[in-house]
Amino acid sequence: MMMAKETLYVLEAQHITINFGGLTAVNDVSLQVPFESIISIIGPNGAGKTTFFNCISGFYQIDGGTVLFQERPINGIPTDEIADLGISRTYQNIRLFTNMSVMENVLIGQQPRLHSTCVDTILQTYRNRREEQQSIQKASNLLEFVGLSAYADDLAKNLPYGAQRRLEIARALGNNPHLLLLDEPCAGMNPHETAAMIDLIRTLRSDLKITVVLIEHDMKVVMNISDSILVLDHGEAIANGTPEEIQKNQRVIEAYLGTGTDDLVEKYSQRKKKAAQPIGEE
Amino acid sequence: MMNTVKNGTRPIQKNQVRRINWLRWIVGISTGLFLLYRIILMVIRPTYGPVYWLGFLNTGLIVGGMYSLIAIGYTLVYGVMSLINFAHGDIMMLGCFAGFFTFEFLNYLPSGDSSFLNNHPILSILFAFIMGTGVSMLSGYFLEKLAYRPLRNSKIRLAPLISAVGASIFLETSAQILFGATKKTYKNPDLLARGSGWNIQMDGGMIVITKTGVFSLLMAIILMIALYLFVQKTKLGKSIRAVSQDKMTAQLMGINLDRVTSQTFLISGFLAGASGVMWGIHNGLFNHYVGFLPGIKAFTAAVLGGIGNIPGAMVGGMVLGIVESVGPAFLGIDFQLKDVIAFAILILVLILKPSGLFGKSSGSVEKV
Amino acid sequence: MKNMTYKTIQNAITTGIILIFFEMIDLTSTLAIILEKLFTGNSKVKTVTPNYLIAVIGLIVFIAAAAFTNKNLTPASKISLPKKLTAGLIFGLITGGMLALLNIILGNFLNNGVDLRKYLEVLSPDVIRNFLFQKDIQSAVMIFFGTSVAGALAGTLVMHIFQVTGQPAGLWHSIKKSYGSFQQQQHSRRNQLISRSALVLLVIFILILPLIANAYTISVLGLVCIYAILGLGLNLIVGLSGQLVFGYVAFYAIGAYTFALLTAPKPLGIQLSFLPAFVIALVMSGIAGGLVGLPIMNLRGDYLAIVTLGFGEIIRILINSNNLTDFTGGPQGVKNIGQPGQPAFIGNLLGAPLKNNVWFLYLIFAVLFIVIYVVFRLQYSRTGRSWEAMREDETVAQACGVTTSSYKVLAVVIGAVIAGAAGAIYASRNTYTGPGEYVFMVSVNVLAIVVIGGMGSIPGVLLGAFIIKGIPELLRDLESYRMIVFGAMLVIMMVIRPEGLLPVKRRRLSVKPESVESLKENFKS
Repeated sequence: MMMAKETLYVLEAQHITINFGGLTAVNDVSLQVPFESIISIIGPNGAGKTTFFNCISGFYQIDGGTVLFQERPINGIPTDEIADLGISRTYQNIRLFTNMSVMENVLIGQQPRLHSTCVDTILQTYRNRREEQQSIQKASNLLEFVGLSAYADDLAKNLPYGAQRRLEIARALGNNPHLLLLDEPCAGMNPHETAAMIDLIRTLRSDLKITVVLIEHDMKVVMNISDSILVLDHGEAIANGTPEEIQKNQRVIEAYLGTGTDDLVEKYSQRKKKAAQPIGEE
Repeated sequence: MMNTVKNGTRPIQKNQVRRINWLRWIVGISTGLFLLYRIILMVIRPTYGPVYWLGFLNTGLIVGGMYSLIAIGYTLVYGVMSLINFAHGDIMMLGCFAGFFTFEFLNYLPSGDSSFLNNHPILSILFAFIMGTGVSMLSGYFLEKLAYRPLRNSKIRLAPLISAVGASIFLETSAQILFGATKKTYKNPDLLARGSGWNIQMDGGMIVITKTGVFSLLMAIILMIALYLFVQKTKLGKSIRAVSQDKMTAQLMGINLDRVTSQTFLISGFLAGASGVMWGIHNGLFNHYVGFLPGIKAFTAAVLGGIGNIPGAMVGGMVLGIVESVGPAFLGIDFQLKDVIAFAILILVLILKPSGLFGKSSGSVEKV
Repeated sequence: MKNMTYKTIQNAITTGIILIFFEMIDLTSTLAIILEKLFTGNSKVKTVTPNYLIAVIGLIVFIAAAAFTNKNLTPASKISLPKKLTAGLIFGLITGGMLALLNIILGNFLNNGVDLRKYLEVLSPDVIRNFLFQKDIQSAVMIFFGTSVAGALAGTLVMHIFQVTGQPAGLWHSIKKSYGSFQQQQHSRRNQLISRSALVLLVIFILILPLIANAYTISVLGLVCIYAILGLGLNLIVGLSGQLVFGYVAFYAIGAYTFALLTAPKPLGIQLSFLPAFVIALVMSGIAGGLVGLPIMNLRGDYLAIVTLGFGEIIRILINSNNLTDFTGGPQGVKNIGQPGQPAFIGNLLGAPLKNNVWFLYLIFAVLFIVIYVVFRLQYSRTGRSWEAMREDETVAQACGVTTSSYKVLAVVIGAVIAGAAGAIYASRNTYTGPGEYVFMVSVNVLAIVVIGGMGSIPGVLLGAFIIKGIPELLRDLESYRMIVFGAMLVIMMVIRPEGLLPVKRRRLSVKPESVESLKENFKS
């Protein structure tokens, strides 16, 4: 019974905690991501959403807890090996390789799935040529999939904003990920572009069978596509459930709308106290 | 539930640590074993008596003081601009030349029965320092304005460093053509004549403590204390520290980045100029190439102490100076190879503790 | 208007300082000699003629004033001609005044019999007399003022006429445009054909060149090619992977010394033949690259620059050391380094064997072509893309699956091997090598090649090698100012055109996409 239950999750984050100096940026957050689901993480600014992503994708070393990817702990694994395992991500402030072409950006994303060495390259072995051809074909397919075929040979920096977001997704798809982490994919987009992005994320799941975890501020997007929502506030998970449940949750409403300044000050001071607790007391 | 908070330190990227660990262990252990072997050898079969060691220490402290001053310049600029000011050694060279010309001029200037230089030695030295630091400050200021400022927001990450190399080459070869490649000799006032000093007799030999050496070391210490107070207490010092912590926030707090950068270059130029004059007074011989090696070694010192850290640079310079003069005897190698020791230390530090002796934790986690 | 006066004065003072600097390093006279050579066609000119000196000074002021007018007194600012000319007059007077002041001082020193050479090496009495135009101080001052004012006025006026008629702007624009289109010419197939055939012609020309050139050209060509090889190697490290290596000369030295010691009769007396020694040299420099690369593979920032610089110095000190004379030849260097023999079939084919230097030049060409091929292949492959991604954004590259640490080491190792090849060839070509040849300046030269040509661009490196090593050989008068120019050029290039003269071109890679089904298949597997 237990086994069957565990295999349902592509990602399991258990009690993630991370500190920056005295500040606890993420405190005891747990998240279970079932296969082929779309999970959203929401929360006010500075709630620790991106930090949580960074913990999963290996940028930060967590101070406590475990991250299990397909039942395998991935704590402290370098980011490139995490990409190799099949977790890809995009970034809140778009980070493309700006002076490289769109195609090259997507090709870089396939890095973990390519095996030709530099000796192959110099000697132009059959393996190298075949692999290069295949990866270029796949990159073209990916660009077609996200709708950027027209830009394929432009420099990445010359792309319009919305296209850059899509290019990041195409790049992230290069390593055939099982799990895709999208950090604010719809930020700064107009309603039309947002709708297109929602469609794209849905096709990611339906066509490519990819599990998606996304951070988003746009409630329309979140409520529209999520199977389940995790709400973070000041580094703590305050709610976790279906969109309907979250909409009704009192704590979420408080976190978003606030309960007045006094409460906030009190809350901050409480956090301070928590952070200042002696080490290893628990 | 809350079994998680282990420590309050900033997380470092474990991957970086893990991959380098084996290398670090091998190098660390073998270096340690080798040093231990040398120490045992020195105890069992001493090749040099204690008096020699004191002599080496004496040399090391004097050179170390100068390294410290130059290293502070590197560290300050690195803090504010995240740039290795490669031309820093050449700024020191210009200061050295300025001091030289001042002394020569004062030597020609008649005053009473002899020259101004020997009649008013303290005033002469003061003039030399004013000229040396002044020239270095000016060149540092214009260097920043012409070669670094336009590149501060360059798309190419390497641009400022390449520009710095260009500036360094330019200054060095200009000095070579202007002043000639031959070595020149500082004309010290009689008060600070080179070689004169106090001989301390000990069993097994004697230590010569030169006046110039004492003067240089005292000067270096005074300047370092002054700088430390300056950086800690004054408004400019606080702005410099603020900018090296976080440029954006510092700007938001109303700190003028351009001005602070310029002033940092003025301060680092001042220290480089002072050490240039000290170098000339103590060592005597110099030419256009004088700044190159001290520059690189001072950078090593700055890395040793943790780049961006001012007390670290001071200690790093001293340590490097001492190790460099003690090292050849300790390791039993030729004194010609003392420069190798400095660079070997640089490489060892970068392998064993990249953040330096006093640096903040390395492997800086970039915000994504 | 006040602002304009201030700017005029500022620019004039800058020009004055530049002119004074030129005079102090005696560059003005050198330029005058070059001008005279060009003008009279007499290549044996040794001394400066005052008229040409005046012309050079006037020309510099002219250019400075024209540039000043073009930049600050634009048509948009609607400044009338008299005002512009007044600005030009002020400009000329200030510059002339500064020059005159300097020369009054120098002239007085000369007349009082002070020899300045003890402090300012180039200012010998002859040079000062030249700058006084072989006349007395008063007339020299008049000439300085006259030249400077005339130059500045002419510059302002010419630029004004250009501004009114709009000629140079249009011309400049079209030059820029054609340069730009030259940069992106690969987009049509016909252009590709043209460029391919041009390339083939160029290769044929290069192959024939050694047979028709004289010995001096061959030696210069050989040096240019060796530096091109070095440049390609450093380009791979700096231009592609974005790691800065200052001590590149270390790998060059290791290659050269390994080869030299393995083939020379003294000091080791191994005397291997060319090929095994060459291969061992490559391996040794590769190992050295790995040794340098490993400690820094997890460091970001500019540490690599200084570490390699230190490494370069260590190598130089070691080969220069008296203690190691038995192993490295010490300060005297290594003599009688082996050269590759010419295979007999060439002699049979051509009737007579090639001259030694011609044969060696072909050998250098062969190595250069191999290196170009290797770098080209690497650049447009998975490896090269990973390097470039690392250069653009190391964090994200790693998160995309690029193992940055090993790619860094790989770049340094391959670059080191290429430098080793260049070193071995260089040592073999000269049959002598010594520690004096492996100084820091070599690294700077190579860095300048990469920066000027365009980081990451193979044609750029070839052009850069020609500019850095070829042109100074052709303009021997400027020999002593070479490093000054390089230093200034590195700064100026970084400020004005950081991407280099021939920036790297991106290749078209896209192919016709297949259906989504194939993508799905791909994702299932």
